[in-house]
Amino acid sequence: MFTAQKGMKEKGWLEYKYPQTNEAIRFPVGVAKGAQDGPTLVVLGGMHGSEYCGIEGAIRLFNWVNPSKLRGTLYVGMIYNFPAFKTNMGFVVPQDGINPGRTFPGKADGAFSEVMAYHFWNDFLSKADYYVELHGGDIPEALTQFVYSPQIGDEKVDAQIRMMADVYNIPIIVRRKIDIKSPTFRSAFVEMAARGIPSILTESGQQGILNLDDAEVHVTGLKNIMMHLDMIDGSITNTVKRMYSEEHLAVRSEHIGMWYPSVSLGDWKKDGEIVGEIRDYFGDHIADVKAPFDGHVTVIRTSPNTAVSNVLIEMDRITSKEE
Amino acid sequence: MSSFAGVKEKGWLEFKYRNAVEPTRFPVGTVHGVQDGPPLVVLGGMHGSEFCGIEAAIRLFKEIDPAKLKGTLKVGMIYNLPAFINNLGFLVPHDGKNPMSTFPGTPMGTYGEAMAYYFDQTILSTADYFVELHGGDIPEALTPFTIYHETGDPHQDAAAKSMSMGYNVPYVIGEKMTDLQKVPNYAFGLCAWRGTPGILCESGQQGILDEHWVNVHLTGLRNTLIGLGMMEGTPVMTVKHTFLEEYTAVRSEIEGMWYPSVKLNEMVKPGQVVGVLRDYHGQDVMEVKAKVEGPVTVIRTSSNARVNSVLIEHGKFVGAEE
Repeated sequence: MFTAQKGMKEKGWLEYKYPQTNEAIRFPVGVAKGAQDGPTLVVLGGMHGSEYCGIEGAIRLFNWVNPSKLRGTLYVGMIYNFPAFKTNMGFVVPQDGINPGRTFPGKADGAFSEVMAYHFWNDFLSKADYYVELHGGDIPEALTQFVYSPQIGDEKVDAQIRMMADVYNIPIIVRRKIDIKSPTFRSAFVEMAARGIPSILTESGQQGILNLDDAEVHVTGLKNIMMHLDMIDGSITNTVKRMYSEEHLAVRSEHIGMWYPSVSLGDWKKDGEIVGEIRDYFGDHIADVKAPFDGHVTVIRTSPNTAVSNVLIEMDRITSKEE
Repeated sequence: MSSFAGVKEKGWLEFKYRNAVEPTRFPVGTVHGVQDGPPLVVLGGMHGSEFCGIEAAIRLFKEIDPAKLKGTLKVGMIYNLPAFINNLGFLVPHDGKNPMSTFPGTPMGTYGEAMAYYFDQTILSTADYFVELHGGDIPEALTPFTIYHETGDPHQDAAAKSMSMGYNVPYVIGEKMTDLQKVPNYAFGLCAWRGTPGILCESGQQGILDEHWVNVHLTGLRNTLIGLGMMEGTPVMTVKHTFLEEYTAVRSEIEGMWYPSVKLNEMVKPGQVVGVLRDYHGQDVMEVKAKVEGPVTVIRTSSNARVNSVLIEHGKFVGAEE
């Protein structure tokens, strides 16, 4: 893999074995080597295997890009968490039940998901000068499109990250401060950022459904980033008014039961306002669920099943807006 | 008349599977009417992520007043609770079996087969009428429909068709059950085989709890109770029925990515392309074609496809109300 000459495209599989069971670990990937020099952008879909719009965005970008008109190199991983993709599983790697967003940079002798992360990090992600991780709303979540923009405290890197987030053409941008003295972050995009590689996570799509409009939002955002990085010619699509969040918080369940949200995506709620209710399996009230601060409802769990610590809603504290 | 007349009771049906640490549990409730009438069993969550059927079962149980009920209403809120808790589509997580292939079950079988056995012994087999509530599992978009069986017994078949039509959803599917030597391995089929009118009702989709589709079920359930003479009232009838038979799933022959090109309710003909399967790098691999002439009722909206994954469901059009 990755022997393409300048001006060529190549696709195939990165293949490994999990040493303890000999089970295959496979990643569908592709590379477009630009005819001219330029930076290396790595794009990854399917960190969560049932977030199809990010996967489809990655596939479409790879098929769209013309290497003879490209400056630099584009690496595309179509589906990172392929075992979850194949089995309609939300979030986790089925072999060990671990969320792959908590496994980077991986371990050669770890759990299945850690071995996946180890190989993928070393053979693929580590090539990046810039990194975009595509998400698409997993099976139980409805969401408003947003971008996670980590801020590491190095102004040069942070400014590049903010620009990538801004040009993705998505309305909510979460600027999350990262303490890089902390030993490990475990999600690929934060691990990248902590090493000084401009890196964002983008969400478009929801509920484990392939919606082609939401997939195209990713494609537009990715093309914009490539124009911004001067990897391709073209003019950047800019159609949204952005809101900036300094705090993105998940409200989690403290009970087992049934979850009934009473808010809609895009609602504004005050600190302490009721956003939903937990009932038992017979329809009787157990507890109200409340907003943690004044903010914007960005993610809502739309599966009624809830166990202790399940995310019920995610809210953003918005600190500035584009007019 | 039962001494429970006028009582509503709820709780857990529990049994122990082999050496499992935790008991297997079904949340259930019974509404004992003050007057005589038939036992009706309503069951949600055969597929644990079909939330609209589950929610309708819960709400029906809450709203029915035993003082106004004739007969007995038994409600199973969530049959496949392990799948419900784990956001798993279709299957019982313990054995990977679809519970629609486990009835009448056996206590010596797999976990799912033991579930079927205990539920059938304690609740399902007591039904004079049975409604199995579905709600579109995680990977499927669907348009509401009901299915009943045509067994050849005119009295039973008429009762089942009447329940199906009374549910007030547009598509009514009559499935022929010709080989009565073969015991069906799914609950509403098993009921039909026993001579109990039983229907399957689908409203809801994609593993999402949606108020609109819950209310479609609730209207259908109230209509069912009224239709069986268990409750006073006027049935809500707002739809024109379309009748289908030869209900058919088109399944994937390969592993890859699925891109449907039809919409729900679209009329298709045998051989018509309904979507395409591609590989993981975006190349077309094969076209997928319809098998019968009629409307598309279910579309897979997850892009993953494996060998045998259902891509669309459709039924042969046999007539419609004016």
